[in-house]
Amino acid sequence: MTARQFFSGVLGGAVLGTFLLVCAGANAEEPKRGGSITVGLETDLRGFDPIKARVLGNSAATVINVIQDRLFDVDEEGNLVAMLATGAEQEEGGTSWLITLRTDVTFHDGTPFNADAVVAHWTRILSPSYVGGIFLQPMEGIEKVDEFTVRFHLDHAWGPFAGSLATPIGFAPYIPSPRAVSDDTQNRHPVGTGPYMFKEWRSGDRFVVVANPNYWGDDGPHLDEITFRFLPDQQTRLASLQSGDIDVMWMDRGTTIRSAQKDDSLDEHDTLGNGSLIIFLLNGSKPPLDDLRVRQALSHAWDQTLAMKVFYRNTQTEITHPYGSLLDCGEAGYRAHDIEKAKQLLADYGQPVAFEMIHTTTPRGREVGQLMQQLFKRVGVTLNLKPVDQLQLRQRVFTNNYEMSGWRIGDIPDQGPQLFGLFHSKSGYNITKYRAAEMDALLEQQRLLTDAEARGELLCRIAETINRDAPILYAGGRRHYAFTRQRLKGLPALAYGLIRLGHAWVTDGK
Amino acid sequence: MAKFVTLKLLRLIGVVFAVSALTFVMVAMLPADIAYDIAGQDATPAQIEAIRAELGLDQNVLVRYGHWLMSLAQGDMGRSFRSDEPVLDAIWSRLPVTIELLVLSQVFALLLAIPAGVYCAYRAGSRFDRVLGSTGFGMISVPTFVLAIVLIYLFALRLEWLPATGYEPFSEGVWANLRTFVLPSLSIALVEWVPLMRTLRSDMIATLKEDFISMAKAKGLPAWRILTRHALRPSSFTLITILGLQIGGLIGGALIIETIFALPGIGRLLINAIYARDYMIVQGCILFIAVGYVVINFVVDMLYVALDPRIRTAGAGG
Repeated sequence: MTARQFFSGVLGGAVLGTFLLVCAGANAEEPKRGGSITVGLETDLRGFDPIKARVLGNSAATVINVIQDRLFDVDEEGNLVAMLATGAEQEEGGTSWLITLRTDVTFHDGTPFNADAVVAHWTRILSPSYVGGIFLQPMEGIEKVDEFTVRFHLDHAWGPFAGSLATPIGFAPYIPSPRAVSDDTQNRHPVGTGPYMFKEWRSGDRFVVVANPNYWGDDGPHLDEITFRFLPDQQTRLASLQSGDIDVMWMDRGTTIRSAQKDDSLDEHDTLGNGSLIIFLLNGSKPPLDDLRVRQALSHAWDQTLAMKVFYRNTQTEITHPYGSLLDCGEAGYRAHDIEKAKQLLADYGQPVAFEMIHTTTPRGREVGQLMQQLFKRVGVTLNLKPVDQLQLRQRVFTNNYEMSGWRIGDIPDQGPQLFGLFHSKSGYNITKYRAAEMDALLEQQRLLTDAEARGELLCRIAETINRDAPILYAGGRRHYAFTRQRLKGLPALAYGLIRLGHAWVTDGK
Repeated sequence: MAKFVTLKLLRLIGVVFAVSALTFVMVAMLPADIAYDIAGQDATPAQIEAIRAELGLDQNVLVRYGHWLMSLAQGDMGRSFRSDEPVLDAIWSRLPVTIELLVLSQVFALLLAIPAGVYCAYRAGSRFDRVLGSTGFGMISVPTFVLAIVLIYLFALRLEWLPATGYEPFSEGVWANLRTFVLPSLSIALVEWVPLMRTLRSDMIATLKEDFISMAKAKGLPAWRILTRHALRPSSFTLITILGLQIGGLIGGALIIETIFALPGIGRLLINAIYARDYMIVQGCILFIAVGYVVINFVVDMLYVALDPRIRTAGAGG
C-alpha cells in the first residue's frame, strides 16, 4: 500500500466509518439531547494510567472510550476512521509514519491537544514499563515534527501499524491529558478529549461521567450523564436490565443471551468479531503433545459443533481461523470432527496417549474439561483434569508447567501481532512452544507487508498452517452481544466487543 | 471495670496480630501471585518477573510482613496493587454499606424472631408453635442466594416495587437508600431469624418456669407484661451471643448477598482481593474484620453486664 493509498483509505474510511459508526445502530429518528443512562458492567475498574493499571479490560474499555479519544477509530470491517488525527503518511518504505493532528481540540482540563501530548503518551507506551507493549515491538519511538505533526519510527515496515493506533482494546491508542499524567491523577481521575468527562468514581459501586460541553466532534454528546455500575453477577445484571435499573449490558453466557432474547422489552445488538473466546493450547514441548500425529488426532477428536451447543447454546459461531469478519479464509484446512481419522493417527503414533488438562474452577471451566475428557475418551485418549484458579492457570502457562490449557485469542483489528506472539519460535509470548521454520517465515513476511490483499493471503496461509500443525484447538469464535432498554438509541455495532456510548441518546430526552 | 476493658483491649491487639500474621502467610502460600493478574494474558514471563520485583513480591514473606507492620505502625495501610487505591479509602468507602446491611438484616431478623420466639415459648407445643418451628427449619435450609433470587423475581421483576440491584448512599435520600437495602437485608434476615427465634423460645420456656415468674403470675400481672418485662430480659443472653456471632460473621461474610445485589461491601472487596492475591487489600480487610469481631464481642460482653445485675455485682466485688 502506498502512502497515498493509505491516506485516501483513511479519509474514505473516515467518511464510510463515520457513517457506519454513527448511523448503523440508530434508526431514522433524530437524536434527542439530555437525559441519562445507566450501564451495567461486569467488573470494577483498575484505573486509567497505562503504566499503573497495565491492562484495559472490557469493562474499562467501555468507560475509557467515552472519556479519551484515539488518533484513529476502526469499524467492525477494519476501516479506519479519523479521530484526533487528520491524516497519515508512510515514509521511507514504511519504516516511519507522519501523522497530522487536529488543531481544534482541548483536553477536559484545558490542556491543549497537540504533538507534545501525543509524544508524551506514546513515549510512555513504548517504554518497558508498559506491559501491553509486547504486540507493539516494531515501534521504535516517536518524535514531534511541529505543533500538530508527529512521526513514528519503526524497526521495519509493519502491516499492523495503523490498526495498532486505532484498536479500541488496550490502553495504547487512548491519549490522556499530559497534565493529568504528570500530576499523577490520571489513574483515578481520567482526563481525555472525549465526549464525556469524569465526574465520580465510587470504588466497587459506580463510575459517573458527564457531557463535555466543549467536545470537538459534531455528533454528541447527547446525554447529560452516564453512570456505569459494577454488577458482577450476570443473572442479576439481566434482572436489573429487565426491571429498568440499567439500560444496557454486555453478555457472553448462552443461557443469559437466550433469556434476554425472549424479552420483548429489550433490543438485541450482536456483532461478529474475530479471535476466539476459548482456544485450547497444546504444549508442543511436552510429550505426547510434541508429536504432530497426536495433536492432529486430538483436532479430529475435538467436536466444535457440540461445544457450541453445550457451552453457548449456539449463540457463538464455529470458526476455522481466528480472523472472523475481517478476512475470509474459507475452511483453511480445518480438521473437522472425525473419530476414524483420529483413531488412525493415534494408531500410527503407536503408544498410549494420556496427559493433563488444566482448566479454571468456574462452571464453564469444568464444563469445558468434562466435554473434552469425554470426546478424547472416544478415541482412546486419557485426559486427566486439573482444576486451578485463574491466576494459577496463567502461572502454569507462563512458566511452561502445563500440557493442555484453555486460553483465548483477543478480538483486535489486526491478528498479525497476536499470532506472531503465539507461534513465532523466537517470540517471548510463544506459550504453545510450537516451533516451525515455515510458520516463522510466514509470520515474518506478514509483518513486513503493508499491502492488504497480499497480507490477507499470507494470514490465510498462517491459518492453514495452524490447522495443519494443530498447536491450538478452537472452541468457537466471538459474537458479541449487548442488550438495551428500548429507550436507548444511537448504539453502533459492537466492533471488537465494545459498547460505544459516545453518540448514544434516549428517546425521553429533550 | 477498667481492668475488664484493659484485658479486652490487650486481647484485641493479640487477636489482630495473630490473625494478620496468619493471613499474610496463608495468602503467600497460595499458588501464583498478583503479578499474573496485573499483567493479564498478554504478557511475557519476563514482564511478569519485572512486576513481581517492582511490587516486592520476590522478597521473603516475613520481610514483606515486617514492611507491612512497619507501615501500619505509621498509620499507612498501603495501596491496592491492582487499582492503586489507598487501602484505607477502599475499606472506608465500603464500610457504610457493610454496616447498614448487617444492622438492617439483624433488625429484620430480630423483628421476626422476638415476637415469634416469645409467643412460641408462651404457647409451647401449640399448633402455632409447631407450624412456626417447621416453617423456620424450612427457611433455614434454603440457601440465602436462592431466597435472594426469589425476592428479586417477586419484588423487582413482577411487582416492580424495589430495585433488583445497586446501592444508593444516604446522601441521595433516606428512602432511596433504604429501598436498595430491603431485599438484601431480608434475604439474610429470613434465614438468620430462625436460630434467634429458636434460642429465645427455649431460653424463655426455662425462664417461665422460674419462681419469680410464678410470683408475678400470683400478683395478677397480665401475661404480656410478664413476658416482655420479666421473662424477656433474662432469656436474652444466648440470643445476644448468637446475634453477636451473626453480626461478626456478616462483616466480611455477606459476600454472596453483596455480589447478587451488587452492594459494594467489605465482603466483595475481600473476595476479589483474594482471587487477585492483592495482599494489601486482603490484609486491610482482615485487620478490619478482626477488629470488628473483637469489638462486637466486647459490646456483647458489655450488654451482659447491663442485662444481668449479678455480673455487675461480681465485677465490682472482683
